Amino acid sequence: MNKRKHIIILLVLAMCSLWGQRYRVGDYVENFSDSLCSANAQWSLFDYYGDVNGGNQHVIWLIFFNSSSRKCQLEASYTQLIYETFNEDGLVTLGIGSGWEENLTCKGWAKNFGVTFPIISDDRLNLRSLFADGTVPHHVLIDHTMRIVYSAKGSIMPPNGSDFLVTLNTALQNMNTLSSIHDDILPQKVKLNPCYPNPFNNKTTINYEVREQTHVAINVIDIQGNGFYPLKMYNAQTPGRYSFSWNADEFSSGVYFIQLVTDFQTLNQKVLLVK
Amino acid sequence: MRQYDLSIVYQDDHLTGKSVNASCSNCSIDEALSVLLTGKELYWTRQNNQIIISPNPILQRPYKITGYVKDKISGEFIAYANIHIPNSYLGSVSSENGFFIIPNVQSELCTLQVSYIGYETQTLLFDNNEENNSIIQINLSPKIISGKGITVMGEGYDMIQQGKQISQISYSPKNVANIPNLGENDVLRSLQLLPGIQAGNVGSVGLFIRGGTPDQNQILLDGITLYQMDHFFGFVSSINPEAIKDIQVYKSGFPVRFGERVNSIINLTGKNGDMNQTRFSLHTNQLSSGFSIQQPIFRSGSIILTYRSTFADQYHTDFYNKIYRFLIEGSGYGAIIQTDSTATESYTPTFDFSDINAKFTYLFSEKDIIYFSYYKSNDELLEKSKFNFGSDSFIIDIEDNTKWKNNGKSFKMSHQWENYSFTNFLISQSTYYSNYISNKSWVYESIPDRILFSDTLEFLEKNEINDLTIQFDHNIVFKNHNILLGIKNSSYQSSFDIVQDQDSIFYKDISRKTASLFGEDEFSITNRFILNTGLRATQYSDENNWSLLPRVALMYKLNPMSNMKLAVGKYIQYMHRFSNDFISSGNKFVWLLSSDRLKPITANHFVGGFYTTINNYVFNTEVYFNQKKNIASFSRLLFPGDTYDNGEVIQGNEYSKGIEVLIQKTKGKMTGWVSYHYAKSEWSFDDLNGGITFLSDHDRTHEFKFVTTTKIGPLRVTFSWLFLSGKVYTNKNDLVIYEDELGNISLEAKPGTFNNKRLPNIHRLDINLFKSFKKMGLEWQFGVSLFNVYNNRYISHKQYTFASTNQPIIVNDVKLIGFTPTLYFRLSR
Repeated sequence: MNKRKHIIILLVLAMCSLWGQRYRVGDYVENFSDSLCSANAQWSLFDYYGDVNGGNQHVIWLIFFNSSSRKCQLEASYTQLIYETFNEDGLVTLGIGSGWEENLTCKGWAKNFGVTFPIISDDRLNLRSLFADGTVPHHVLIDHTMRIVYSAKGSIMPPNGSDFLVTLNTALQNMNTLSSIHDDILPQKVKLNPCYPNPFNNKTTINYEVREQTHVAINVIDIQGNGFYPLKMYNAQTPGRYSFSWNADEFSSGVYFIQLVTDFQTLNQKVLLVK
Repeated sequence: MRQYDLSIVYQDDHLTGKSVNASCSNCSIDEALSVLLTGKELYWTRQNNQIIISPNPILQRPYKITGYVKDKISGEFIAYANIHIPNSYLGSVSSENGFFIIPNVQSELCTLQVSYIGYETQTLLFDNNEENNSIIQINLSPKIISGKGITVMGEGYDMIQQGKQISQISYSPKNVANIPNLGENDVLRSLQLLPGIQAGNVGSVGLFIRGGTPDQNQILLDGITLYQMDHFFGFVSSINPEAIKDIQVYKSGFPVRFGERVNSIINLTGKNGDMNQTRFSLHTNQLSSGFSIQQPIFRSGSIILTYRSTFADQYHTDFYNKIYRFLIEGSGYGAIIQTDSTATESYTPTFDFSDINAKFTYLFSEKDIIYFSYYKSNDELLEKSKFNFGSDSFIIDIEDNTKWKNNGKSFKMSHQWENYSFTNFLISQSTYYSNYISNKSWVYESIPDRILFSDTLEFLEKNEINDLTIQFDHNIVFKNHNILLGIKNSSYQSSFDIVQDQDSIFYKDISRKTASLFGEDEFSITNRFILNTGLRATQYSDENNWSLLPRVALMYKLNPMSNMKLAVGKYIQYMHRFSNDFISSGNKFVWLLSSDRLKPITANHFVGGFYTTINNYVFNTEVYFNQKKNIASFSRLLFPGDTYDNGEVIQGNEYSKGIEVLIQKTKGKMTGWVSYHYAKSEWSFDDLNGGITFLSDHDRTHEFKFVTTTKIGPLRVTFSWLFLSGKVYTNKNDLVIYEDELGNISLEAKPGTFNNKRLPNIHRLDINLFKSFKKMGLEWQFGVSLFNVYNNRYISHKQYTFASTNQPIIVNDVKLIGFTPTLYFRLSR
């Protein structure tokens, strides 16, 4: 009896340690580097960490894929399109592939699907095991502070993937706003004050200030990347203090982001719903 | 004589001027006849329970009777007509060309009784001594005789007839307009009223026969294999009743001349067309309308052209909308809306289907017939969807266009030799094609009017299957043996193509061949006992070995009206139809060839039965057991083409068994049948349900069907009442989303829970009212069909929807369509 208990405890501990190794949303990522299979070069995560290098800020997108997976093949050209669209805004994209096939080797993949972003061959799944729980495709977004803001499996192809694009857009806007504040020391045009109560049970009030007329959208994002829920949208809000009450009856317990989208910047705040 | 139930056969001229008057009491028949005929220069003999009286001593040598059965009015050959010598064990069935042979007739003179569904039974005298009787022509009159303003509908309105083989049923589409229907007079749907063929699935014309699935049935039209068996999401069969004259259903235990499928054969014979005069017909109902033209051509030929098309693409009737909602409830793109509460959707589908049948028949002589048959079926579905996510910040437009086509042609030549043997030569070709194009465009606005991201994407999926078959068979009648020998060669070519924005995702082109040799010997060991031994040997180009498929059928006649039958056989199938409930678009109707990843299905059939006729009643009961290996589950595949490549195909077994009882009333003012089917159909897959055997999706324990037709005033009224066990399902809490390492997902049940629940019993009454009369030289037909008369909206089935592992599984109860009337009109000359 005791022996069995020990085994169970050991198993639980082993699982916890495995679990602990895997990055989740909110975690800060350590540096990693590997050689690219798509080009003769080395790729390091912290090369794109502006705070460390004193250089440009970046949002980093990791695409974990398997070349035999139809879902990955289908979204390949779509990922290239997102990469092209947001590259200039500071998005760094890295493909991390495995399961290479005869006609779809690392280079063949890039050629067949017109992919131009760098790709790392991860046949032993060393990198994937750090971020993903096994299935592909899996997408990870790391913001300019090296914090994971999005990590979810499944295709981001429409009609899925709206939450991915929202999170990406938020991360890019936050980074660019921050850097513009550093550069120009502009007064903040919007302010998101702490929600009250937080943690909350079913109802919390979102408080914000607008200092120049703007469109405003208030959204809720599930921290696990499971959903994106718009709460309210205003076409034009004049300067002033506003509050909006969120009734979370239909949501389950957990951590959520309250997102305030305006013409100038996007602000996020973490709230905890306890039922 | 009545007392002895005797048939006495004689020719009037032999007896002219001869009168007999004799009495004999308490004597036997033999004594009585001897007394009667003594000194009258007449002889008698007893043959096959008939008493034959003739002026000459009767020779004891066997004769053969050969001939053709034709429609008296149109001259059309009648296939599968029953020809037999009453009160004897002798009889035969006419071939597709209306030709028949009865060997071993022991007397020169006998009566023949010829019957076929929808025709008056004819009794005629046959004399083997007359030279011109070498090939006889038998003309049957149709039962409906329309006069001026009135219609005489013959009594004994029949629709089905038991065939010669066990589990074979003859069905004539002639009366299909009399059977209650939903939207369209549908031959396959009306077959669902027969015992052993499931009737519960209102949304589909797919035939679930004796526990098997529709893809295990072969539908042959004049030798052309039909791959696209239905239109309109499976709701309407792609067989136009206007073009078909006969349907033979072999539920199981079918003979060696059929061999491409493992469950059942549905053999359709197309109309030849009228050889005497031009005819035409027009018809319409709430889903489609069409026409048919028959034209005599050359000296002894005919041509028929039949066309049918839906107008649902032009004009959405309420009826169309009702059916459409029933068919798509909770499936397809609608699933996204149910799993994402922020989304709204608009969805507009347009559906179009049409089919063409054409046939040219020519008789070079009485002994040579050729025909050329052509079939074309088209389906097109255009779906426009628009999604708005998160208060218009995401807009996705999807335009899906799916096309299905099935084209086929066949050429058949039959020759009857001097020695009563005959030869058939058939070339047939069938092409099935499906093409799916999806255009998606989407726009993402982070805030109103500021487009952040937009794109379009084109996705294309194409599948084609092509077959070419050459078949040669020869039938010899030799003493007590009726021997069939044949050879068949088929080649198949299949391609599969997936392209997205010019990127090839998948391409495969494969070719396979099958060669088959078959032979059977129908040996009448005695008059009562017939043994049919057959062997079919088939080779598939992927395999080196020949598969030997022996089949044996026995028939023992207890008396001329009753028999016992038994059949056992082995079967093999190299074609698989992809089915995966979770693919919403058109690509689910894909046929795949066996490969090293997809083994052929093999089956064993066992069936035994008892048949008897008592007065106006036919009683038939059959017990069957079918066992199939390597049936495939494609549930874990994203694309059908992955079967050939890297996808996980699960193969398992199917076991089905059951008892069928049919009591049919064939004559009288009220005819029809009552049937009961007790059945169990199970599946077992090592990788599903924890390896535990479970009930198949279509298992229904009890099926009770009651069909009756009668004349009420000027109307022919047909009732059908069904009482069936509900469909099986899996409890929502027992369902899990399975995901493989490549991200493919499928819905599966926890071990031991697959299909372990059953919906409540269902019952439904449908009524059809039909009127036909002649006016202005034309025949007018009107029909009203009342579906679900007492509006019993039971749960037909459950629809499962899921999008990904982190979203909930949604279960919808799909309720049957309520009371729905359907109108039908036909005009013909």
